[in-house]
Parts: sequence; C-alpha cells; structure tokens
Amino acid sequence: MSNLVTPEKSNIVTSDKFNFSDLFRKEDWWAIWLGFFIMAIALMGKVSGAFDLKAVKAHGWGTGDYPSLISAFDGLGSQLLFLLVFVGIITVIGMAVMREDVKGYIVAFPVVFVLANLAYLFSKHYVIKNYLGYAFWALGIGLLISNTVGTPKWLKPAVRTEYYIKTGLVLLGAEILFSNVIKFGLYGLGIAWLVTPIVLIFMWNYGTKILKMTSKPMVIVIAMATSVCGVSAAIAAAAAAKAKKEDLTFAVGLTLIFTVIMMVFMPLILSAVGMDPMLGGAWMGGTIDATGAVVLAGEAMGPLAGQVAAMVKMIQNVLIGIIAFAIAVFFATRVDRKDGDPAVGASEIWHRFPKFILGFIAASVIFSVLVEPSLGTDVTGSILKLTKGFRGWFFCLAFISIGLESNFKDMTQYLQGGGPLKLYIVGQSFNLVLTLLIAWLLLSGVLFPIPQLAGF
Amino acid sequence: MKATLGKKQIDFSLVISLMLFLGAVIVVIYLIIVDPFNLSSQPYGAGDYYYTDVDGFQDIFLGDTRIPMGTKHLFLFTVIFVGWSVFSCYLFLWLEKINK
Repeated sequence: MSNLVTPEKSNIVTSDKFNFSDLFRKEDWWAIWLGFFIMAIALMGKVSGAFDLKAVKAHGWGTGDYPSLISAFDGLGSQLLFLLVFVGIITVIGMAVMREDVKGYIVAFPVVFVLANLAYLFSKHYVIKNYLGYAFWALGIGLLISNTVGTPKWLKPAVRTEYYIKTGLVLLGAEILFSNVIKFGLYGLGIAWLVTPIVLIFMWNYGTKILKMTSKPMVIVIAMATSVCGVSAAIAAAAAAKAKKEDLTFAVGLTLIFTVIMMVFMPLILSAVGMDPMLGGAWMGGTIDATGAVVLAGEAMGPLAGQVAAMVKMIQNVLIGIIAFAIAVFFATRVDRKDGDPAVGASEIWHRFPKFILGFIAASVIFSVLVEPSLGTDVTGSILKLTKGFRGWFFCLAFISIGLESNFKDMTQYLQGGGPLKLYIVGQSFNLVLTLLIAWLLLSGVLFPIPQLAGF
Repeated sequence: MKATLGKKQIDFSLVISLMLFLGAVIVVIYLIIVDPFNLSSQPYGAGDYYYTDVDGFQDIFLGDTRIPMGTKHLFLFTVIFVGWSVFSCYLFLWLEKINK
C-alpha cells in the first residue's frame, strides 16, 4: 500500500548530513520551488499589470449563458491549453531534475489533466456545484477507472499524488493570512481557537485509545477535517502525518457527505427554534466543515448569522498552518518512533520532517508579514485569486491520482470495524456540543458583554 | 456497545453509525436531485472547501467591513493565540504519556 508521502522514495533524507543536492533531488523541495515560482509569477503579473496568470476551469453550466455540458468550455480552449502546457512544463522540469520518468510523464500528464478537467466540469453543474465539489468527482473518476478497466501502466508516470498535493499545499500557505485572526476580535478567536484543539485532542484519544484504530494518521486526518475546515485541513494533515491515500479518501468522503447535511439542515432547525442569529452563526461557523457551506448556511439564517459564521470559519481557516506544523513535528518525534527507541534529536527530526511544510509556513508568513502590509489587502486578495486557481488544479490532479491508485479491495481493510465512521460521528457530535457551549458562554452575555456588531 | 444474536455478536455502535451514514447518503442524493431549498440559486456551497474558493471571497472575508468584537490589541491576541497553542500541545503530549 503506497503512502500519500513515500518516505523511502522522496521524503526522508537518508544521509547523516544535509546534502545540498536534496534541494533539487527531493520532491518536497520541488513542491516548494514550484509553489513559490507560481506565486512569484502571479505577484509580478499583478503588480506590473502586464499579465494575469489565470488557472481557468469550466464555466458553471446547465442554465443561463452555458446551458449544455459542451458549452461549459466556450471560449476557454486556448486558456486551458496554456494551462496544460504551463503546468506540464514546470512539473516536468522537476521530474527531469529528480531523474524520474520524464518521457512517460509527458505522455501521461495530458490525460490526467483531461480527467481533472472532467472532475471540474461535473462539479460546475448549476445544482451540483452547491453540494459536491471537485474532490468528490476527481476521486470518483479515478476510482471508477482503477476499479473497472484498471489504471493503464503508461498512465502511472503522471499519477503523482505526493508531487501535486505538496505543491498545492505550498500554494495554500499563501492564502493563510494571519491578519484575519486579529481582525475578528477576541470573541471569534475564543469560539474558533478554544474549541479546535480540544476537539482534536478528544478525537485523537477516542480514535487511538477507545476505538483502537491502527492507522494513527487516519485518526488525525479525520480529526483535523472535523475540527478545522474539512477537505483542505484533511489534505494538510494527511501530508504532514504521512498518511496513506486511503486515510485521506475516507476522511474526505465522510466530510463531504455530512457537510451537505449540516449545511442544509442546521440553518433550518436553528431558525425554527428561534436561536439568536449571532449564536447560530457562530455555532455553524465552528462546526460545518467546508467554508462555502458555512457561508451558505449562515446567509440562510440571515445577514448577521452569515457575517458571524464567515468570521468564525475564517479563523479556523488560518489555524490550518500552525496545526499542520504541530502534526508534522508530533509524528516525526513521537508517532514514527518505535517503543524503546531513544528520544529523537534535532538532526533526526530534521530528517523525518516533511520539508514542504516549511514552504507552506513560509508562504503564509511572507504573504501575512510582507505582501499584505506592503501591497494592501485588495491587491493581496487579487494575487490569491490567481494562486488559488493553481492550488485547486494541483489538488484536483492529486485526487484524480489517489483514485487511480486505489482499489476497493484494498480499501476495505482500512474500514477497521467502522472505526473511521464512528470517529467522525462521535467527534462531530462532541464538536457540536462544545462549540454551542463556548459560543453561548461568549455571546449570550453570561460571562462577557454581548458584542455590538457594526451595521446591525 | 455489543450484544449477541445467536452465535453472532452485533456491534450496535457500528449499526447506528452505518444507518446514519446510509441515511445521510440517501438524503444528499435526494437534495441534489430535487434541490428542495433552491440552493442552486446561491453562488457558494459545500464544494467551496477553503475561503478563497468562495466566489467574492475578497468582499466576504477580506473586505473593510469588520465586526468589532472585543479588543483588537495585537499583543494580547498574540499572547492568547501562542499561549493556548503551546498549552494545547503540552496537554496533548501529557495525555499521550499518561495513556500509554
């Protein structure tokens, strides 16, 4: 069973001393170089005004200007071709320097790209777009191929889950702006940051000690998806904990299904019982996994609930970076260490540490401390609009790859007596209760003054 | 939570979890096919995983309209944020140690 991160192949530096050639031979470092290259190009284009480096995808279709499936690509042909060539070239350079199968990659990559296009196409249907995003469709397409006709051997050189996912995560780092934690005040911080680690610790102990799940990375990936923000958090945790592909697949599958349920029914129920919009918004923001689902659910309960829900979720979005870093350190120093092994020293931690996390954190720090203060929030937002397009494509390519590498027979052994399902349900229930309690304590006037919201 | 039925042992927590999951899957399929709450009229939804995936994220999350909730003192925030992070890490490690 292959890992999401394959230590023996790409991630662990095997020599005792740091070797400068690692900077060009290891996938982790290439993820950093590619991520920062895309960020630099996007930044230069935006600042100079000379060009926009856009990563386009299919139009929303099924109604209005784009009624049919085919029309979803109207006017996008040349831009998609440019995207294919651009991403193909920069990734193939990395493959060449890492001495991987370049010829095979050049043949296979366009096909994986087309499959990712299909995933985006399905997710852009005017109804489906509100329920199931590209991750679901990419996994589904990959699994359908691998479990029916089988993944052809010639396609495998471009089935590079780790390469895509790490590059996408470095790009995601730029989107983590610390300033947003400060903007939203102590109340928002209390709801988002007080609950998150408690739920994470609860789920870890429940999964490892009570359910006795054997795959510890799976426990942390599901816990992160539940307590932070769904798919994005699951991806970051999976890469930081060197999880298996199946771990991520289960976590993403569970969070996608239950997010839809919570997105639709929480605002209905909370409105029906007459819950205060500020409290309801905070509760939904702290518990519904996907950020878009939080905004939709919040708005369904009214503008005030929408603002508060978005605010709380935004803080959780920012937490991804620091928690992913902590997970990487924890797994490198504790979980990967066998019983009886001596304590891990600094050099050993460095050897085991997934290096791309450094790029992930560095991107966040650079955009928070340098880019946003110097260029302003509007320009930073427009740069992120460009980089997030590429981040989405890399994640989509990664999910296609995961699907192509997985088969249902192997996946059944990861069911662990329903452990992942029980963990998610119990953890999410605990999350719901604790978030409501903390939100009520902070926002009801019991402990602190009820905050006065501007414009309401 | 287990019981025996004849020679077979039934894990009730698994049965309940599976029922919840299958029920959720059926409801999701129904919601997508019927779209009873007309969510398709909204520009965002469960497919937008991160805040930047949301259409108009700059206005919703990065705009000037901020909610003045409590203090905005940078030092206080930093201390609370970092302090709670460190405390959580130690709590996590301590629980790991005593539960071994």
